[in-house]
Amino acid sequence: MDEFLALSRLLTGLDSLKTVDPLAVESRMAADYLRLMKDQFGAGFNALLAIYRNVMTASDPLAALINDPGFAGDAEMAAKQIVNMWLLSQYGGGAGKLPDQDAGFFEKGFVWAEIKAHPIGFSHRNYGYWSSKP
Amino acid sequence: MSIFNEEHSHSYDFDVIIIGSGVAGALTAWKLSTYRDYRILILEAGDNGINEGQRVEFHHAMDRQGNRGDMFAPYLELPSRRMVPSPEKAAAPKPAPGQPFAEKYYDYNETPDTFRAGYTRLVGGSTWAWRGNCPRFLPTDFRLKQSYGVGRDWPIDYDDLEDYYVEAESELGVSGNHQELDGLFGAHRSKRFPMPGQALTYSDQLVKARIDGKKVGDTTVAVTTTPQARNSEPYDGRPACEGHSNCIPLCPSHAKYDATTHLRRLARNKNVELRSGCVVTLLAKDNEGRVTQVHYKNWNAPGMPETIVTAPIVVVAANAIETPKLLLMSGLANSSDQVGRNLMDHIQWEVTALFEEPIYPFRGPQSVTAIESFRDGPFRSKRSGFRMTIGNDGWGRSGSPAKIIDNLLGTKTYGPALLAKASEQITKMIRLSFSTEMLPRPDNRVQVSSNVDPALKLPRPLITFGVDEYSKGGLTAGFEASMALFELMKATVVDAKAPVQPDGTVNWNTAAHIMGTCIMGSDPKDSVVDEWGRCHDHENLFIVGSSVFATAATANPTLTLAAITLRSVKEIHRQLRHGGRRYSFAS
Repeated sequence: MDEFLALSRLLTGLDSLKTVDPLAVESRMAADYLRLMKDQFGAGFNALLAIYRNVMTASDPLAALINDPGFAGDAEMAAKQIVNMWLLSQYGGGAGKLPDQDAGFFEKGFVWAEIKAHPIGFSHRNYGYWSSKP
Repeated sequence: MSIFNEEHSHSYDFDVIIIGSGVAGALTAWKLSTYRDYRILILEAGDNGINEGQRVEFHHAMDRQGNRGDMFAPYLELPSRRMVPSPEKAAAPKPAPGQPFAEKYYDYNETPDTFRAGYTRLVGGSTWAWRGNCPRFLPTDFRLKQSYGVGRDWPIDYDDLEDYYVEAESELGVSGNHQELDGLFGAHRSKRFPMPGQALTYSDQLVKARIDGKKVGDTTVAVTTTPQARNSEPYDGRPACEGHSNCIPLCPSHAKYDATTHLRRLARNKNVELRSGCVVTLLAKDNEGRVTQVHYKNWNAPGMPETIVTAPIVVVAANAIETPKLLLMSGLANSSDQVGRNLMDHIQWEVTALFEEPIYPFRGPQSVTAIESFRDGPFRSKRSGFRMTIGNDGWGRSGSPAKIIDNLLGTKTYGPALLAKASEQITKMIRLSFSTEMLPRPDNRVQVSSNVDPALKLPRPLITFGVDEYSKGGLTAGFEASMALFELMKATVVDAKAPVQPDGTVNWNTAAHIMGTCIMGSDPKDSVVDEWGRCHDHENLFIVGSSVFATAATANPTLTLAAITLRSVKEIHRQLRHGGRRYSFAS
């Protein structure tokens, strides 16, 4: 799990994945996303992990990862899935397709806070909040 | 005992049978019930609840589905989908020459294009999944032939409908700014809206500051607040909008009107019965040509037995696909050969851009403002006008935040750079969309297919549809205006694909505004219903909804169909007091 979280942090840039409280929802998200990666994208995920283990001590592990000759193909597809899960709680999307499968934590997608919005369909705000700059 | 039977010798099961529980059917039942204690039966093909628990369930279903941009997303798990054909599968692309059409609900034979507008088969109809936009038609929309020499004229005009527009705005709960729209192209307003217009979004304010009052060609641009059946303050027992950015596919709070508003009121009336899961298969006439029998199958009942119910007045409110299909299946109302013809939609396109600075979409309603300035003018003798909306939902159907992220990942952008660039771009997303007018054309039509849908063993609609030069002209004008407006905004257009290509092919989206097919007119030889929605051929058969539209205009159809329905109901009520028969003041 720690390795998955570290890889996720590297790919997404989400610093908050550095320390995930085992009792927090992010811990359950991580467990589910890890399971989905193993179940749905096993070969690519394994290939990605193998590259990651080789580059994790490099001075710029992200650059080393995405420039590794083995990254193109299944490993890259797995990397995209991890990003989409954390940011949107979605996965899927074969070549050229947007993610369209639910990963179970839509309201917890990290993209919404980044863009200063709420998850679509779940505002929890009162009338007129949209008139002000967030 | 029917109150009707107290006065007349015939025995009927109900005073009125209404087929369809969308906004037209629900309004018909509600308004009739306020006139008198009529015994009313509503037959609805869909089968779902109308209480808040159902809304929560739909909302929850949406939370579990990936593609939230799909207007049908919350409804995919309804049991009715096993038994009722799924019209949302209508939008099949036209296949390559020689290849068969995909197996969808709409059937095609030879057609220039596919018909892309779907609808929801739900108790409450497609109002579960609409944006709530309620602009009125313009006076010239009712006098298109007279004004510009194209299309048709209605048997009624704007002034005939103005009182009913006011009533419809009250019934649906429409918010809007009177001073912005009173007198628009001659469309006077006799009363203010029930509520003030929606608060402008942050993005609207920035956009308006850059383009309002500016010239695009000969047109002075006015950015106005769209009248919307969405509460800007508590109204009719429903809350003010909470800005879920989710009007389509579902308003989670019921701040936006849907037909369950009226259906829930009717549920308290013991004289009104709603039978859901009931698909009408046939309307039958008596020896006098009066349509008094309604045959239906209840797909929840074992064996789906056919049931027959009777009434002296039958109202068909089943939308502009199912209504003509039912009439054609029944061999009714078609002495003019116009049933099913003049199928229309609003042919739509959108242009997407990145604003100069963050405007923070996905906060608040999906769209609040519009530009009405391009809807009318002498150009309508040659090409359609268009109505333009300013989105607050990023790139709308052209691209979600997921698309931005996907694009960045495609360039191997990961880590902190991914977050920074995604945020930079998503917060600047903006779209302009424009809906054009279709002319009523007899060759755009719904017929009855020989292919039978396996679920209910009923024929599918056979559709022939094409986009003509009139609409193409409007699309091109809308595209050019969008480009000019984005230039005024200093926004960077990201997808400048023109809707009409040099080879004549057309890129277009559906607005899912299904109109025509049982059009209204004075002459029984070239129209299906009279000014009251009464079939020329059958004095006791009424049609309500956008099927009666003689022109499509550029305004979203719901408010106009609601106003026309309220006008028809007045006549239905008068006729019920005369034994369900047509009458004149002289008689």
